[in-house]
Amino acid sequence: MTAEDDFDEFVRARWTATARLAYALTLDHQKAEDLAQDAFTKLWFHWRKVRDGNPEAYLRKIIASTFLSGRRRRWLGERPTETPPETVVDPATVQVDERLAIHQAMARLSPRQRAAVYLRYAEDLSERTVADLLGCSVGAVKQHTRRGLEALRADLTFAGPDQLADLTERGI
Amino acid sequence: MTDDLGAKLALLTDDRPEPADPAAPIRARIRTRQLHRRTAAAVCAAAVAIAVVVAGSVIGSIKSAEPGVATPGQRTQGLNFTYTRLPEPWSDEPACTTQPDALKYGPAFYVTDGSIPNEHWAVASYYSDGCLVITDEGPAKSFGGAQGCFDQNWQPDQRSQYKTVPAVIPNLSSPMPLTMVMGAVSAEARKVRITAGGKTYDTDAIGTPNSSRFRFFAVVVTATESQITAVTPLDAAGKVAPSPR
Repeated sequence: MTAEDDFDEFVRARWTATARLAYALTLDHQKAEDLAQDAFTKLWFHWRKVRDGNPEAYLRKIIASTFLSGRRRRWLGERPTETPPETVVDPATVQVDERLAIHQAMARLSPRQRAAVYLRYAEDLSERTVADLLGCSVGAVKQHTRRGLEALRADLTFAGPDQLADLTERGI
Repeated sequence: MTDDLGAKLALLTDDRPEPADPAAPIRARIRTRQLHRRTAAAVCAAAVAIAVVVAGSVIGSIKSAEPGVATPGQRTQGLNFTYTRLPEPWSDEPACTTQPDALKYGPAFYVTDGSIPNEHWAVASYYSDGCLVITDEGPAKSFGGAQGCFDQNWQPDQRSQYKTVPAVIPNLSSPMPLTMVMGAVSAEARKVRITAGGKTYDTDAIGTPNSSRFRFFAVVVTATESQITAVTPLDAAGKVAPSPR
């Protein structure tokens, strides 16, 4: 199997997870696909070096750094709004309501808070790993996570009274 | 909350369009980026090459504005032209040309060299068939970087064509009448005999890659220009050599 075949197999195997992460960060399907493709493209130029190591971690690092650097360059491009930017989903189901709620809540977080929260609680990564991915200290990750969760907690459409009580009990 | 949050975040990313083959567009991006990289590398290489050439020319012109200071950069480069090697005496040693616009002399080859008070000199033939240039390699510039071409206006029985350049040596306690005699003779010549101020000077007639028609000579005589009475080429047998063909 050539390096290209090997890489293509990796792309197919990791595309869904990578696109999910990209979407969680960008909250936009087009931007997510672009970010994921860009990350895989960057990975290819280091493929021979990382293929026998941990390419998933390297890919995640690329995603995080590309997203954050892109946000730095185009920070004004993101304006949290009262209503979610994507309203094409059918609001008839509870699941869609929940998705809209979490989308809206995540959109109100800063990029670093969003990344920290998603990587910690959706990807279940350690604070140390998240710190490496975001290029910051563990303390900064704790702070981003705490503030992110506080913002989510404050969002009444996301967390109900019971959940808020639960958060308070856990000291989060 | 955190377990619940994980589930909610999973729900957030559930509903996404999946491409049929995600590897295909990525492969296309990789090709595009590789092309851009190659293009950028080629452009950078071209820019560097141009910068090097321009810098070299500028530095060369600055250095060549100081006659007498020979530098390796002024050595003749790229000797990829064809020529017929003449029998000895022969010189194909690339020469330094220390004059302004040194590059115009390339390719140049040493004919001979020598010394006078305060100065080392050399004479080189250069690209044009039948031309010589003096390269003064000292502080005095005694011969002023003179040059001459001897490839035209040969009379039917003319056996040599030469130029005389008196040396001007400043700060010399007792002035010496030194004169450079340099010129061309036919390819059949091997030596040149010069009579000046009652003395006879023999010097080699040197072939160089610059000419298959002429050999060149240069010598400094202790005499004034007007005291030079004969310049005679001699062939391998010691007889007077014929005129150039």
